[in-house]
Amino acid sequence: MDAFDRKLRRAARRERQEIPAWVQKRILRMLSELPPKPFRSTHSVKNRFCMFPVSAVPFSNGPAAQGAGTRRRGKRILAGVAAALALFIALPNLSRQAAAAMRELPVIGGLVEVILVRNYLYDDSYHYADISVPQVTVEESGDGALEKSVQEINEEVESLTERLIAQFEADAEQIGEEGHTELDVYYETVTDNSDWFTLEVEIYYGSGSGTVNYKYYHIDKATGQIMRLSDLFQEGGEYITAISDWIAARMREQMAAGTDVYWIDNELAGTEFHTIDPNQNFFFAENGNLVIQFDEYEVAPGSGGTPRFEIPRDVYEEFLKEGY
Amino acid sequence: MLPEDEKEWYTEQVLACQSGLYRLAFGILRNEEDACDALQEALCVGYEKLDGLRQRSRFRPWMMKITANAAYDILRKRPNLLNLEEVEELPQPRQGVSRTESMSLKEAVGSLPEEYRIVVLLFYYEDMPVRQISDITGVSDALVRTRLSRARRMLRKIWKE
Repeated sequence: MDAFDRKLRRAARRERQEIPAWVQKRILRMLSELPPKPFRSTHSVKNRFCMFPVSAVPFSNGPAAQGAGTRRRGKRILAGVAAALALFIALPNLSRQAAAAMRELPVIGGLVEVILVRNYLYDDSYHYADISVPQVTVEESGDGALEKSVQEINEEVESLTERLIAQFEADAEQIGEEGHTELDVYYETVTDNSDWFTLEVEIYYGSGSGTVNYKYYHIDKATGQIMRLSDLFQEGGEYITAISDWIAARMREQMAAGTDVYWIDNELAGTEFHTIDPNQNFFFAENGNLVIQFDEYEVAPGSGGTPRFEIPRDVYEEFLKEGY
Repeated sequence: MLPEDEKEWYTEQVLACQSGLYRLAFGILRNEEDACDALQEALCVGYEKLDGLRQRSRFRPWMMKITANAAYDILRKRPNLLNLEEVEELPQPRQGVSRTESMSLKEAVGSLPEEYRIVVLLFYYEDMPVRQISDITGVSDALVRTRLSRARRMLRKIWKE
């Protein structure tokens, strides 16, 4: 899987559209009206519920129906063998040289660098995992704080991926051939300039349709400290209200325009968006604007993907700590 | 072997994969109404043929195939809209689509010819392996790979995240 392929997969995942509500309503009604099984009359279902006559042709450009049975039976056996010989590659503790050779991301004038240290792949037709474990490295800088922060991030990422892999393996074993699971973990250096470093870890986990979650790790290079959203702002939390109000207004605009759906002003209490978390996921856009990132299903149905809002600086500027 | 209550089992299975089935039907037909019709049709056929599904764990790919068939049935009945003949030379994406910074992948994929759109949809949106895509579309593994590779080349030209 090359970089473009990964990009396609990630974009597809973000854009994955859920079934429209009106279609789902029809489907539910139809399912509820199905006659109980077992039934004998093959025509009864069709005539009662279907809008189009069913063609006997298996597929427009498919193989001849007679040959298909044999082919499929062979495939089923092969699938069993494949499951038994499940591909299982784990490359822990790569040497530094090997890790350097697998280096994925160029560094642009920064002391911090992100390398791929471990790639975990698993595919047995039912369960699929593709996990890239990054490690942040720092040149000999003599900056104790920076080195400590980098070490802390690496430990967190390592422990996160270990937990995810353990969960995936437990789920895969429990589900067996009764369903599908998928775990994908990708990372990306979102920012690496002279002032700031941000590592994004994107986690997709699910079966059928899953959920995308993000983890961000930020370092303020001036101080070498790990940063959260609240660390950028003065105490008192006014930034939370300012940013949340701005986002809520955009959500309402987009709802009114019919372009997006958010869980806001919802009659069902408990799900609607009120405010961002004090340490909501965020990163900086290339132009330096603050971007607030939500996980899938955090503020919108799955059809909304993982919403993000780029906040104009004048919305929050007065609440920033000095120097930001 | 069979669950006691077929209807309940079937309903649960359908609800678990309905969005994927809808995306597949919509990907073929590019129209919500038609996609809904195809889905309803497929669900009738699926329920009727449920006894023929030997491996219950293969419900999703099996249902995807039935949905694809129902969608292609509707597509074939549409007058003069699409030619389902195999197009084996590298086709050009539809006119009017130019490379833009903000084009969504969905739009880019929508501009691909149907036989490329469907493999991209199943591979990237539904995370299905080539083998299953081959089963669903009724073309060989090799042709699925060729179409995927051509679709990637087309997408490289027209889509930028």
